[in-house]
Amino acid sequence: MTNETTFKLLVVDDSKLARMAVGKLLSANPGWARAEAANADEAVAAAQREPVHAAVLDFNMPGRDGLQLAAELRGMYPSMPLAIVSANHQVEIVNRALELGALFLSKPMTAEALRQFLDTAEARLGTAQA
Amino acid sequence: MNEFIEQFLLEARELSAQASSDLLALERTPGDAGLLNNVFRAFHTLKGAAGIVDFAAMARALHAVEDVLARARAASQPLPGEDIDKCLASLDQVDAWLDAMEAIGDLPPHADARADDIVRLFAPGEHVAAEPRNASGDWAPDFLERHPAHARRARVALRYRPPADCFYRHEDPVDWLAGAPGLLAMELAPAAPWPPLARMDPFACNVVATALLAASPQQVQDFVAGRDSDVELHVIAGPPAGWPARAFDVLEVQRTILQQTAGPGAAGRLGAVGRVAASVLRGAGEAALAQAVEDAAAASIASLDPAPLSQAIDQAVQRAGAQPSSDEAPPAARANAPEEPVSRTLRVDVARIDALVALAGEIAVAKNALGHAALLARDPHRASALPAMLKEQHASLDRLVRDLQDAVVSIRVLPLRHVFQRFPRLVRDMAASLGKSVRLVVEGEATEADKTIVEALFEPLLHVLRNALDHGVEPPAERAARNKPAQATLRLRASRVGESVVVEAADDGRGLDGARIRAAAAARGLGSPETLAAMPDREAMDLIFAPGFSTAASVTDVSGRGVGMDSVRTAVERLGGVVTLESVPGEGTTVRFTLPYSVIMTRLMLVEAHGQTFGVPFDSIIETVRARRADIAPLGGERAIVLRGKTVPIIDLAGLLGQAGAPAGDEDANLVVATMNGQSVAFEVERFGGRMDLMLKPAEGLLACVKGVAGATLMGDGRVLIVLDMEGLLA
Amino acid sequence: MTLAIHPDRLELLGVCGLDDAEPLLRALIERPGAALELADCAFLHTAVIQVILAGRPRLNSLPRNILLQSLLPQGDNA
Repeated sequence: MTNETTFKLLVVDDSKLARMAVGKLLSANPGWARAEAANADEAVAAAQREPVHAAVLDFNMPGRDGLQLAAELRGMYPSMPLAIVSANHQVEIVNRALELGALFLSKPMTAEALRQFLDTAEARLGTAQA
Repeated sequence: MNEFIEQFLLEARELSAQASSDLLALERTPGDAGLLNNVFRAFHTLKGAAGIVDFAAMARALHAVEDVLARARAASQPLPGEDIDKCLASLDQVDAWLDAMEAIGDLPPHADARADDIVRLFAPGEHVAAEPRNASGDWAPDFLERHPAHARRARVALRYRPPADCFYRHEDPVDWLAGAPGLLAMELAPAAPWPPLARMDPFACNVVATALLAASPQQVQDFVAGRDSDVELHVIAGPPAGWPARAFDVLEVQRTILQQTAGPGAAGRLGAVGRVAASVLRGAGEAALAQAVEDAAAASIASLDPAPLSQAIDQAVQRAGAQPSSDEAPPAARANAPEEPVSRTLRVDVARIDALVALAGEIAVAKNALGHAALLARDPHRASALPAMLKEQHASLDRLVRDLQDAVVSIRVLPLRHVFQRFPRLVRDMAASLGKSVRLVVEGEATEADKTIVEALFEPLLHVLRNALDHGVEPPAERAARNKPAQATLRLRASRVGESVVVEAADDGRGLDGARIRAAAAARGLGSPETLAAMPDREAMDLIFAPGFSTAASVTDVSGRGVGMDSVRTAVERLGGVVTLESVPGEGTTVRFTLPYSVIMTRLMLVEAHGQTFGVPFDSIIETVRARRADIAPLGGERAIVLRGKTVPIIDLAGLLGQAGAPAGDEDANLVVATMNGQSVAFEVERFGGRMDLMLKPAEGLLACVKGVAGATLMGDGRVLIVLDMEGLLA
Repeated sequence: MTLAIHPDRLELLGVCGLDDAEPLLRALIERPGAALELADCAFLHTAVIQVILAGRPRLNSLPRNILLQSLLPQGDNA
């Protein structure tokens, strides 16, 4: 399919440790590069500055939380694959993520969960490009 | 240390400090929902961080804390005081874990038991069942038999019969069991025979799950807490707790290797297996078994028959397996506790790094200019311009090097907040244990000082604050009688004064009692009553820093016995600082540390002895003396000289490095007299040299083992300068 | 939707939760003898596992997760 294409995943988490962990998992997925942001403002700035194909957002961040950021990114890129990450599976968060068309992933993220998200994202991006 | 653990330590320390200060604030304003939310978020993020580095025990403990916080948050209830205490206690454990990780660069051992303690702290009611129920444990032996591969590591067999309606309660039994501690194997069976598909209710749970776990019975009990009525546990006689977790695995591997030892190289393999097995056993504290294995290995090698060694390893495994197991006995091999952690990671402001980058650029420019000057020197017509040019370039390099040194020093500075932030909590706890009401006011915590100093200030400051709380601050009744506010005030202040950093701890307590101090000093033989009586108050008060001095009428829990203020003075002097004291009877006491801002630049006096150049730190030198040989007398195996009525030992510098001292001639001896803690020592040298400011590197390699050597540096002419460590020399 | 119904076989994909148990059960009833693909299945809820245990369909492939593999009937489902 689109092996040559390099997609970019925006990883938003106020914890550098958490971003490092996602980065490590991401390195097992060729074709994907990473952009990082430590909060919602940085994330919006990054998404304006460079093309971002998908985003993984921590729910629990100071300032605007991951869901608020997801809504904002949704406004900028209506079809961008988004995932909300949280250590707590609160039904309310899961439902609000789903309403925004975002996937809910539990934290810490597993390699399988990320790969699945990226696979779906690639499929969606592939059809969008075709 | 791997970068994840490094980053984890950075973030976890910040989160723990944040949680602690928010909890203390919450204690003052219990209904503050914002603070409660902050505390919750800090614990939540801390738990997430623990999960990322696979520190399951810490995540488990923090989950218990988080539950309590989440309940309070959901109920919009203030967090009860006892829960604040428990949260703080769990942060203490977290800090201890972080310290251990910093020391060993990996997850700390024995964390599960500590995590169990925390979980129990928050859910004491759920752990009343002390012994796991064996119930009708007849299913367990069969189950074990079906999993021979795990038999050796399994400690607990578990059977779970979830209620039929559990799916409606959002339970997923398999997923839950998958998270069980030390899961080795799981099996599912129908609780009632499977019905035909057409009559099956997909929402009724009809499975019984059995699992083999490598975790301790206590851990498993904690895990199943809340589902006790649906769970049966069967404890399997396990390996002795003293054995490191992997010992059995390693021995197993050795046995496998032994099955393939025929053919060329067999003797070598037998020897290797014997060595590995023996050292594993030794590591587990089983010296006798290790010896038996070694003997068997020798026999096997001699006969090229693996049987004796194989049997010896089998016996070792079985013998050890037969011993009673205990969860509390610490493994013998772990007896060497980790060293006191030394922080190796610095968090640096980006602006400071930028300044360094800019300086590097300027230095490159200066280097190019010097290259230009070198070209000029080759051209006889233009060489006359050289002296002026070199002078100018020297001046600019001089400035750059100074800026560079400043920039490097600024990277090493930390705000005193780093150490101050630990005290609100400690003062609170100490005051509570003494039944006193105390308010701690912290000022100037943004003041910066060298990292070494900031990190070393904790102990001496803690000591001073302890003393203030214990002896300075009056009991509430006494304060009332003196018309003082019932709540005492402790002030912790920091400020930068020129090249010094001043740290003060002040109380508004009863102040020092000159008469009592004199009496105590007399009783301890620190001076005759007459001398003491003649002493000005200020000097008398200074006596509390004398070794062994203590005026505590009663030994309390807080100050303890035997550690006096002398340890404070020693610690501060070690940092190149001084301690002073002011006290007004009835109004309070202020203890002041005056410390250098930076510890990096050391001013040295250079001396030569036996062809070697030594640097003696200037701040410890009292005088240089030219003495006649006749005045030097033998003292024990050493030599000494009497200076101003005091006997001062003479140290031979060359001897320090294991060189033979040169025979003393007839000429006068050059002595450098230095002091530390009031103790003096003289170094005999051949020549006094100049002075030098030095950025001192800690001693490395061989020198690191030499007592009395602080470090070494290369001088411009290629000679090695050895810098003396006065403390080490005089210890 | 993580149950895929192909003409000749059934396939479970990704994370299969409680909600997938009933569709799977219905599919197995409607297509006796249909084989099941699990290679791309990342997670199975207990409710889904027990439908598989009760129906014992032929398994063309197993999930990558070793624990899930160990819980599913293997080889003996003639």
